[in-house]
Amino acid sequence: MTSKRWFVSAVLATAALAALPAQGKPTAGPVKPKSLSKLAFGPDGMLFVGDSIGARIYALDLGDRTPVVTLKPLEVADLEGKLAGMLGIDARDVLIHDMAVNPISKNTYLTVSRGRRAFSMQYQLPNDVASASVLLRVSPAGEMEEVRLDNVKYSFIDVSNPVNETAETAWKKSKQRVDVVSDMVFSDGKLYVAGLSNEEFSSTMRVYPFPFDGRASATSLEVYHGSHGKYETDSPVRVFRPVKIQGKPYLLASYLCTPLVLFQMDELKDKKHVKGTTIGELGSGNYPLDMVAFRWKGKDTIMVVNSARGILLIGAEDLEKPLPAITTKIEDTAGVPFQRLRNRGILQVENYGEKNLLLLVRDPFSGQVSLSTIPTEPA
Amino acid sequence: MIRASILLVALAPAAWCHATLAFDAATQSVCATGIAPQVLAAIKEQSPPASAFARAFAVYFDDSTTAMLGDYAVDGDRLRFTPRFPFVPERIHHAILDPSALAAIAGLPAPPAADVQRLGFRIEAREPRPTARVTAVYPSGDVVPANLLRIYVVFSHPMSRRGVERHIRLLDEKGTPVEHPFLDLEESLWDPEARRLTLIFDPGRIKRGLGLNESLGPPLRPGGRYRLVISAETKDAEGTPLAREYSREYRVAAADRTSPDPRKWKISMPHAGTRDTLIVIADKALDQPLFERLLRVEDASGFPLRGDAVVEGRGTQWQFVPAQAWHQGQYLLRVAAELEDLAGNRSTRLFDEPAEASGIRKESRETSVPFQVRK
Repeated sequence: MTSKRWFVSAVLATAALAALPAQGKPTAGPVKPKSLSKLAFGPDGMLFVGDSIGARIYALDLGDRTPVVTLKPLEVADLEGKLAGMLGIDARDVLIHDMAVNPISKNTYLTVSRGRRAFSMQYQLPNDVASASVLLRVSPAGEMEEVRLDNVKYSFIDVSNPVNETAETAWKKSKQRVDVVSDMVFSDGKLYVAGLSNEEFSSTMRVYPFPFDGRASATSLEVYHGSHGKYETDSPVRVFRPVKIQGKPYLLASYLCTPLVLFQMDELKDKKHVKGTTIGELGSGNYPLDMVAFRWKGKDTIMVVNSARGILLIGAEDLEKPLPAITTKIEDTAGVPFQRLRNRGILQVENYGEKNLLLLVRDPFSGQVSLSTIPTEPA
Repeated sequence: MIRASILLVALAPAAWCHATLAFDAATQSVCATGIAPQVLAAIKEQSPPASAFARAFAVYFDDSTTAMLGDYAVDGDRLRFTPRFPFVPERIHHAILDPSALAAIAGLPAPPAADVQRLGFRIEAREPRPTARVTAVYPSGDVVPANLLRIYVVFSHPMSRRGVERHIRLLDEKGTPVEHPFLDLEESLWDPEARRLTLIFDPGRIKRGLGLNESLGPPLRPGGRYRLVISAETKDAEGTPLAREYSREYRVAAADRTSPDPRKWKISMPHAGTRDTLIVIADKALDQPLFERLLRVEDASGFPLRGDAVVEGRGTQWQFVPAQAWHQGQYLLRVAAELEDLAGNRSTRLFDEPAEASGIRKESRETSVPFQVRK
């Protein structure tokens, strides 16, 4: 009798586990994110997916870790036209939300939706107008296929205290919820997740050791916004990268309209409030769309892709020099020196091997979007 | 209803159990029938990934050459393709079925003389059926002050964000439209879902001492009756008009230049151990959306309570049902500084209160009202 009861309770316990995968534990099965908001690659080909609406981070093990043998420049013309066929709509409705390149296989991952028609005003970003629900893979040979999520190996962690589902950003007619995850970076065993919380100072940097084990920290962030002439805590980090300055690890972050700010990584403690150092003001009326670190002309360089203010190149050596913090109103640009290139429609940029950048570009004349590779160092 | 008009069905002679493609309007999917039972059985057992079907059974949008994403499933005697996203009405889609390639997926030999089947189909557009309507207008009471600041119009469906103003009129007793009653903004004030519209009376005509106020007077005259009319021509997000016109009358009382005072509010006493509705009765009608959003209840340790709040009593009552039962002891009702009455007056300053001599406006502050939960 006793043994039978044991058996029954063991079966029940197993059933409960199967029905409700536990946070942190790797498991296999269907993954149903509410929004594929942001992508980032971690170690060993692990793909992190930030789900802002579902307030959850997934680590997908897609088994994609076969190194590419010879890497040729990837060129895919009229990408939206090809995606349109897959989504069953016209190219003008295809919306690409994010892009990430697997550093081992060099497969490119894209998140897409049917939402481009929904843009109704300036300053809306893809996640403001639609939730991406399709994950696609583009091989180095340019072949495209959907990555189905109905049976994958994965683990996940819930984002605590996400900004609630009804909070609104009135000036751009969107829900703040879409920015629970506004950007993600994996660095040194940890996933850094920028976004909004439901706390008084809502701009937050969350840090999750990986593999997920339930540990997490959340630090609220404050920056001086030069073009607004004030301190701010409610606008999320839009793009960021880890950088080392004088041997110390920092996060270099940029915001809408467009402060460039350093945060010391070792100050990012749970439930603490941290003031960043604004080292640059890249100009108003502008979104930083993407940020990438690469070698250019033999020097470590950071590229900031802007919606309106061109492509900015910042020399890593300039970050090493003492930089006065910006604490007064700035009319145009100020701070860390940068070289400005014109932006002929770049929307996203990723490292593509050591010596290339992969660009997602909308040609200003044809209106077509392509994937295009540019060399950064002589081959 | 959605129907499929089949433009083109393959004329190929029946082969391999008469394999045929058809669009199924009821399920909005494409079905292949006449497939050999052993092929269906093998596909059902192996459940190959959707990508395996690319050469065997694919559906294309318009003139695209990349196949639509979707799911393949064996359903009785048929193989069904259901697209990931709905087929777009009024557009042509093509389906193609290669019985030999299908047999190959199942690991079975190709049937003899298995011709490739093709189908073109078009989904007819839904007749635009007006469904959107006005579900609420705030203020919800019949009497408003002459210096009323805002009217909110709530629709049942997301609306077109552009051009709504020309479909909204305010008529006086004689049916004459009031000229430019509302602030003329470049973009209308919609909530993110485009379901709630905010109309603001021109502050220049409400605030005492301003030119427009003195020359034109306030848009609403005390003692008057006005009718707010939202024409059936107002378009929803799909461009479809409203199901019917909406109108309602307001009677106008004297201008209200008094502040709401949360300390004069009546608060019901819920019982500990229950989820009794907390009823807060204000000293006057308040701006309903602000009233709903700007109050919160904290427990003795300052922790905000979760729960559902609604405004009733024509904008005078805030009703809150907590998610968890009440505990005996003290709670705090916190009223945010931004709460306003119908005329935009806050508890700490009037809407048109002149700036102080220093040029600094009086600070708005949060008000806290303690209340007890009894056994």
